[in-house]
Amino acid sequence: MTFTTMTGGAVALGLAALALALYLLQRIRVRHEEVFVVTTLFWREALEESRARTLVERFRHPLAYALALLLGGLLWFAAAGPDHAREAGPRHVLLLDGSAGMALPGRFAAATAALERELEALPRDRTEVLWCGADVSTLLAPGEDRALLRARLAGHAPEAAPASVERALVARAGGGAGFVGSGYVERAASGARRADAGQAPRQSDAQLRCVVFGDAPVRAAAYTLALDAARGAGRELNVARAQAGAPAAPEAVGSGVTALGVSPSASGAWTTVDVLVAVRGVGAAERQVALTLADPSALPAGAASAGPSAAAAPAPPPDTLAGAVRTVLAPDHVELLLRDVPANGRMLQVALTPSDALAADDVASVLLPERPRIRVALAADLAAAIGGEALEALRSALAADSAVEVVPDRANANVVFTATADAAQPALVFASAADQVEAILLGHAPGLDSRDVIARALGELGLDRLDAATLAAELGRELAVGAAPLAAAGPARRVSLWRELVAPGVTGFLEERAFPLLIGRAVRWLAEAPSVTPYVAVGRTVPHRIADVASAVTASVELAEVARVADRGASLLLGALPPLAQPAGVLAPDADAYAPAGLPPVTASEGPGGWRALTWLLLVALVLTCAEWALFQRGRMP
Amino acid sequence: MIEASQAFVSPELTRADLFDTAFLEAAERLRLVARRVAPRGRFADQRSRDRGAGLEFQDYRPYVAGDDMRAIDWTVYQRLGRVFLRLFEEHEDLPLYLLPDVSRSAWLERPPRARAGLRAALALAAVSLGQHDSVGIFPFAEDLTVLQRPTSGKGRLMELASRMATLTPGGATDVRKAMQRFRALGLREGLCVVISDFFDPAGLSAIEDALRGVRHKLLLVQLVRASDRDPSLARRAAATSGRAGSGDDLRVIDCESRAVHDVSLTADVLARYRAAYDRFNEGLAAFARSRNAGLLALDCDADVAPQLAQLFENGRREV
Repeated sequence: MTFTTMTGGAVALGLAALALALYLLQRIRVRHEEVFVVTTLFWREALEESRARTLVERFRHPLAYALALLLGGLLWFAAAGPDHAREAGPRHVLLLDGSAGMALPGRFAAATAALERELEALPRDRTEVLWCGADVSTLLAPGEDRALLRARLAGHAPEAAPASVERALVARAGGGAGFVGSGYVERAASGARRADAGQAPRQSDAQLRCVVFGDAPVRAAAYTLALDAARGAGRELNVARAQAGAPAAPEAVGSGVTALGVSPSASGAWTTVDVLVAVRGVGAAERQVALTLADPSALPAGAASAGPSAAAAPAPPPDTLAGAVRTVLAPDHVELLLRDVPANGRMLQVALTPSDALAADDVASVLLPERPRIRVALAADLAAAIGGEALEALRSALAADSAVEVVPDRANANVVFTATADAAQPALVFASAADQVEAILLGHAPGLDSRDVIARALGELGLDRLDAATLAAELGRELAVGAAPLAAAGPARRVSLWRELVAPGVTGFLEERAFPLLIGRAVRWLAEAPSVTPYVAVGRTVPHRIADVASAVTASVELAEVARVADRGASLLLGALPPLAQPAGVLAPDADAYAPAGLPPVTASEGPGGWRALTWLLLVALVLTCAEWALFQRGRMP
Repeated sequence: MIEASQAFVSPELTRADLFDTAFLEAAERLRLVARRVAPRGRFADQRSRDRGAGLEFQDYRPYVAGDDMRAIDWTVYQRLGRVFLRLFEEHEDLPLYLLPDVSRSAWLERPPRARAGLRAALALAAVSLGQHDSVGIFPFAEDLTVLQRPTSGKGRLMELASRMATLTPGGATDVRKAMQRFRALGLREGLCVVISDFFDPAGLSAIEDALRGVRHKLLLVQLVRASDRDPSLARRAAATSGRAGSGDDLRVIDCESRAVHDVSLTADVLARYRAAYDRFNEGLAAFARSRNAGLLALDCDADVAPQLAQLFENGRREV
């Protein structure tokens, strides 16, 4: 037997205090009621043997005391919230999907009804209900009354955001407190207690049962993370799904944005991107598409951006974009291509008009990347080191790259081309072959695995495009690529080349196509220019990239910073997803990791059923009160 | 038990309150019979200790000068040569002295004990007047008063009723003083009926002392109620009717002596109370037996007539 609102000691202490208070009330001297009698002859004789006390009188009504104590004790016991089954059985976490996919007609209502049915059968002290919309919040903490759920759900509706079911699942599997600092944000619903506040340590729960109410996918990767987290916390995790309902008919959904993304501009301009919008569904060809550029702070509610935070300055009015190429691929499939949109970090919003039954997929937005030109400075010692011809070739390669701007001032540069390795900035160093064993040496932040850096750099720097055999023959020595950590106080990255590679009389590298490619890639790598452009589409794996090995010790998978896209069939809605973090290891970027985990359907819970102990206690107290009243009426109770 | 705020609101008794028509009809068939009434009474139906010119021969006695010559039994003279007078039994009346208690305690409750007591007194008066006896009424409280000197005649009944209806609550019960006053009246020996609750603040011993000095035949009519023995009954009745609280912590005030006692109605206290009450009743009964007096406990909450009829076996009671 345990208590939900107070400890057992407090209950015992309260009962003792109650008994003492009632006892004192029984003993305390009372004000006598004056009555006239025909004679006091017999009272005088009766009282001669029991004189009244001056302060208190003797304990007079043991039956009344016992009844009052029983009544008070029952009420006190009821207030303590006894629960005989509190410690037995698994802990239940019900995850209500509040993502945009649940906005399909009837789907959210069905999920809510299923949740309420399941909740009725589960013990309240070991069951919590979490809202998994844009953020995770607690709808019903353990021990709270079921009646509160409906009132708290009144302010909730499917949000135009991706599901946070996975985050909640991983967090709860690990104990609920370990992910707050790494992207897991839990907001308590109005009036709801934090799930972990004031409760016994959840780590002691040996079994955890999570039920997803809704259609939010739980990817295999997230499911594996949750299992690992649960295993680490020493508990057994069972996850099931209560399906909200069958997919809605296409006619009921209408059409909506099914793909939205940006890609490097086809014109080659570094500072612009191309935008692709796909509209699919019934009546897609008839719908008008409005494209506007707005400040990032103008994000629609529920689609939090992972991009740069909004500036404090007032947001400028949105700019309407024109010139999109509209291609009707089919009556239910339209694509719009908008070229050379400035990549300046603004929010591109797509709006379909007129609206249809499902308004959530009629608006989408994407945060455009910021791609300013990379400022490169050529050090003064470079001419003496590599010669005038090589320097001129270098200048030509930089001038041909639209992403690069050569600046004279070294202090304002993002990357420095120099002959000495003492630069405090990211630098492309032309070192002597006598001083450096490797032909190409990559400097990276300390703590990273040099082999990983090399493996990644082969593609990013375009080293695989080099004709290494020819160069080795021309130089008469073996070419090697190496990587070494830099000093912690120095720059994060550095590329060091043999200056002999660009010596005109020694090799023909300056004449090769790989030379400007290597220079351009090296500048981008050194400047850590973002290489991923946001793109998401229904039915396709969300673009990702493994975080740069130099950016963080803990690897993370960043999902695309995209807005929302609605799935016609599966009602998948993606938004500006915060990172799905894992405490250790690296999530393998294979497709299987993003396949939905096959969750078994929820089985009907056999909960406590019947009336709870609280109800019985109150009922017994009521019966006792009636009995006391009846006894009082018959004169058998004072 | 009467709540303080409702005490002593004495109801006005009317003559109709005192009449019990059924009993008055029955009274015609009832008789109070004395073995021998005191001499020098008025001619009536009771056998008297007087010898005289009655109809029923009783004895002889020698003639003395001055005797009525008509009473000489000449047959005896002829046979014996001596002069004897024939003595006949006299029939005289039995004086009935009714002493109803009109002290404050008799008027405290609802209905007041005085109502039952006066009805009983009137009923006995009807019996007595119906057999040509004389009836006197002497109500008492702290003292005795003469409401009606002994009188006879059936026609006096209504007058007695009217007089009793004028009675009002008196003071505290003082049986000793009342009996002293009653003795001082020097009334011819008769039947003294004391109708009272006998709750004299001086206690039972004072009552016994006072009644022991009465030279009349005694009939004690004790006005009782069920709540006299079990006060919790009255308490519960008052609580149910809303006339009093439901608490058991009381300050009982004697309506006559104003004595105050703080009482908690516990089972032990009630048991001791009942024991004291029982001792009182047993003492009163013992006294009645010692005086060869009748004792009737008259329940004031029940009909008076049936209870009073219990005094008369086969329609007559010998005193």
